[in-house]
Amino acid sequence: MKKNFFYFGFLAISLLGAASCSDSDSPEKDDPSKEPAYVAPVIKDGAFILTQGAYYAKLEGGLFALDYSTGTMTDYVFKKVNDRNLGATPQCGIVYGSKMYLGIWESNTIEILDRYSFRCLEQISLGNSENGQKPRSMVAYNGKVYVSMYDGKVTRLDTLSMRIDASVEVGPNPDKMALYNGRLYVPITDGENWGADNYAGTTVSVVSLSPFEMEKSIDVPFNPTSCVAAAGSVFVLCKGNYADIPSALYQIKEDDSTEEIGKGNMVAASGDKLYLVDAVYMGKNSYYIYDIPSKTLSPFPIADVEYPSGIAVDEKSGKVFISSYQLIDNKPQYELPCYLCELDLTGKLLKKYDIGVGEASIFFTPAQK
Amino acid sequence: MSEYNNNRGAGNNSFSSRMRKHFLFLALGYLSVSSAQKVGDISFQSRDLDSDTVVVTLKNIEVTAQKESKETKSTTPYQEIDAGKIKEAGITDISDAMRRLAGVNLRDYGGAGGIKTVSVRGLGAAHTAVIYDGVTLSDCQTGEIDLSRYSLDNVRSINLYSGENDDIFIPARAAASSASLYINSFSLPGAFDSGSHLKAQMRFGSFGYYNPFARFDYSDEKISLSANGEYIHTRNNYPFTLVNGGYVTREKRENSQMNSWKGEMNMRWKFSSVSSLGGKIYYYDNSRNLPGPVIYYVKESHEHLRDRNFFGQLNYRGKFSSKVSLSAISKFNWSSTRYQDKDGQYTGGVLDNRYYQKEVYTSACLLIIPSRGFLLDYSVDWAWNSLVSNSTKKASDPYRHSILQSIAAKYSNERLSFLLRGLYSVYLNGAKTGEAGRNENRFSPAVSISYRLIPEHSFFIRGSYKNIFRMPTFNEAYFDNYGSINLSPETTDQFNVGLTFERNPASWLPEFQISCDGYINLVKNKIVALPYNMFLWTMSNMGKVRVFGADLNLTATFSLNSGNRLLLGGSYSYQRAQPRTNPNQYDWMKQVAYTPLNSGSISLSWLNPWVDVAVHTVGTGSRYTTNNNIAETRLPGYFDFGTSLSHKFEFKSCSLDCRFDLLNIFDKQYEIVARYPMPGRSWKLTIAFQY
Repeated sequence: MKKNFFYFGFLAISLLGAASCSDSDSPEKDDPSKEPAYVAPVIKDGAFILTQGAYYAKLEGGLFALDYSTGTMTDYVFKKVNDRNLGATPQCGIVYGSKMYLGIWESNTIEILDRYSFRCLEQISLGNSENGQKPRSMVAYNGKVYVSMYDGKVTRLDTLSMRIDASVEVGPNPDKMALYNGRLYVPITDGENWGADNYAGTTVSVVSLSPFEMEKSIDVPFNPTSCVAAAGSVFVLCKGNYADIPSALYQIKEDDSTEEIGKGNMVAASGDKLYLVDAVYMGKNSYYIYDIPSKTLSPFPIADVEYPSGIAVDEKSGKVFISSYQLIDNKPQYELPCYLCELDLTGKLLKKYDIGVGEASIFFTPAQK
Repeated sequence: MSEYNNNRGAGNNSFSSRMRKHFLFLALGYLSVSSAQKVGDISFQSRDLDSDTVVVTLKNIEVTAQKESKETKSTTPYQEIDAGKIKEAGITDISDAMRRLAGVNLRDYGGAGGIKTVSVRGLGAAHTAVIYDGVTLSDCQTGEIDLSRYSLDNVRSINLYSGENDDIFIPARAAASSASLYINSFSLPGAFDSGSHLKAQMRFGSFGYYNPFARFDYSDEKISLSANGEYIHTRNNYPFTLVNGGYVTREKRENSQMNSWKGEMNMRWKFSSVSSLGGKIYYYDNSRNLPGPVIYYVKESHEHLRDRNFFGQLNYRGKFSSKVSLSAISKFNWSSTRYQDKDGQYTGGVLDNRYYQKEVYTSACLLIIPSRGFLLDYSVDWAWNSLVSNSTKKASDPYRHSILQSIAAKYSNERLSFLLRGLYSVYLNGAKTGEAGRNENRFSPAVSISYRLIPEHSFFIRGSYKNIFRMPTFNEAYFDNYGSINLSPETTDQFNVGLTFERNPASWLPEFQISCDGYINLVKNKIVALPYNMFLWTMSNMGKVRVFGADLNLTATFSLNSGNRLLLGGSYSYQRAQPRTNPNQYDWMKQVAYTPLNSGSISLSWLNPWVDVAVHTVGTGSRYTTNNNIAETRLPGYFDFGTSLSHKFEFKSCSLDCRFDLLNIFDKQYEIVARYPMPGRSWKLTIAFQY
């Protein structure tokens, strides 16, 4: 009897003894300055793609890098070089000077990298920032990078000091902005206003860069989401109400009135042309080129992509990129990786690349001097 | 028995000898009743009542004898955890209790304040009815009941039916779900406990956990009443390990405080020995900060959730003759949920969603015993549920009438037990603004049988089939730009075959019980979210799932010598849940998200006169976060070990119970839901004074 007690007591005590050995409470951080084992390819001329992933399903978002000279796509290059996750739902990026700037939406950070090695130079954490949170799009000009922030601001980042130095209130939930004539055109979506009669806004805010302040608000058709500028004109894509008001591209004229250019829900600008995609759910997609000087809209004869989710054009390299979801039985597969089609300016398919889930942004290396 | 009636005027000798026989018969009859739940549970099962018996009320007696357990005799899979087992097996809270049951898939978002929902045999949490003291709880908004509000302190038993309910004298709504989880409280003292009693308890735990609890009850021949109250305060800021590529850091859950309190009062007026009226009032108020998922590089969370629930219910139980019993319930329920978040992206910088649900519910059950071993029940329920929210201007403010009728027949003799039920459901939807969801009327049958393979031995084979459906929740039907009012219900067909065995073979092995069930569940018209166009999603009945599984349960008690016992308990589940919506889709015949193939639990307890010790573990295999089972979406399996030490100090008229629990002894870092780490090692100390 006493033997039983001692056996069990011993077991209990040894279990408790094992329990009392606790892990050290101090955080262990691996030395961030250690040399990474991975060396990324140096890309002089190429394209970069950000994918959003699906954070709650543990599908990672990341940075993909395409080298035009070799035709190879390197996946998750940020994670490989910096040995940590890019963050939850990467959203926007831009290459400016010798650096690359990435905006990560859910993780609320801006990562500043060396654009050749992809090594992180600075991570700006926007939590508790009074100068804007939740980055949506980026534009670079004159030593500054401007970021539209979903909480209603446009933030200015100084590229030399790598610090945020100013911000401007522009209106609720801005989205993809364009730089035109020394001003930022920022579409105000008002997308979180669930109490309103309509779930979207109808204005574009115009922000002057020096002085950095809000200039005016332009009325535009329902649900503006992106502005693009090219060849001395600025345009806004208004997505409508997904029902009877269709999605279309409008030009914002000198007198702040808008004129419809054509139906579509994705647009990219390059040189003096606009590339417009009218993606129809479970239907036939249409692709157009709008020549800005001659104001003509003509079809862009490309072999159809299954389910286009984004378009970007690198005129200087003569390439058009369209990202797409995979379709199975006509239904887009949101948990499967997307792919990227590389086309030339006539619409001929050059190559297809596998990328991650949910393309968010395609941007390019700057023109070689 | 007819002898007795005809000879009423006979002499004393024959009268008293017959009285003794009658007394013995009643006593044995009482023993062979398979489940003598007297508290708050309006169902009972009667096997041997003689149709000619005149009811004579005898003084209550206690008889110690071997009893066949309900788990063994039930025609459908049934598992029970009672208050004794909660203490002996070292069960610490409701989610620990859920994980010890076979066939149960728990979703737990972590810690004392984390939301906890339960899905049974791969069907989804909205298919599990949660029944508190005999009345089904309902949440028409989400369809799921958050179990985190039920602490085990006032729980008399937790019972799970994986499939049809083996009891027949139940409200129709208790038969209207694929599985039912009963939570029965100590709201009424047992029939033997007259007088007044008090329990005062204090619990302390890791991460700033303070939990006082008190219960008072009183009972005499005419009236029983009890009242209890509980308060929980916790910081819940437990540490966890975050792995980010090559960086491994120790973090803490922030913004996790919770303050919750609960009060409940019960009364029962006994008009006679066979009829009584009971009433209950309940109020629950929980204010908690939500830490949210762990997001890389984000330290702040500003989410807050306030849940409030009030209900009052009356239930009448009466036996009009030896053949006819009636039970009637009426209930009014009010609940409110307020979700708040602070973030610049919201209009005004704040999101403030408020939802109010009301329910009026009545039920009547009529039990008829035409002859020995044969029971008939007719139950009719009516419920009116409504949801009002402030979340959008276009809110539909939906409501629903549910009229459910159930006819059930049960036949049992020494070898065979057979249950047949038909449920006829009518659901009428309405909305204050806009269109309402589709109405439904359906007939849902269920049949189950259990057969004693060897006479006089507790060795049964059982089989059952149940067809039932669940209505779309208000979220699924009406949520802005997301819901679809044309949704059909999800239907399930459940087939079960099992063997159960129970024996008390020797004095050193006074209890041995084992059960093994294999099942196939088919889900049709599963409600899933699908894209409506490029930018909007909508709910749709597109899914189909087939679940194969097996549930195993084992209980054994070893008696070492006087005062020393060893209890062994274990459960194991195998669940193969296959999406079968579209052969071309990538998830065809893979494993449904968040469903582990293997899971189980083991507990070993040593009960002795000094300190009771229990050691236990629960474990699951790996799961995937999506139906696309790729390496990236895999959540690894885990084992969670715990231990419990307790001792009851008995004094003349009172007792002091002390219990110490160590949870997650090996500080295992794991997630049940992706991005929500579970607490590592923690402790709880409970001291209870009872008078």
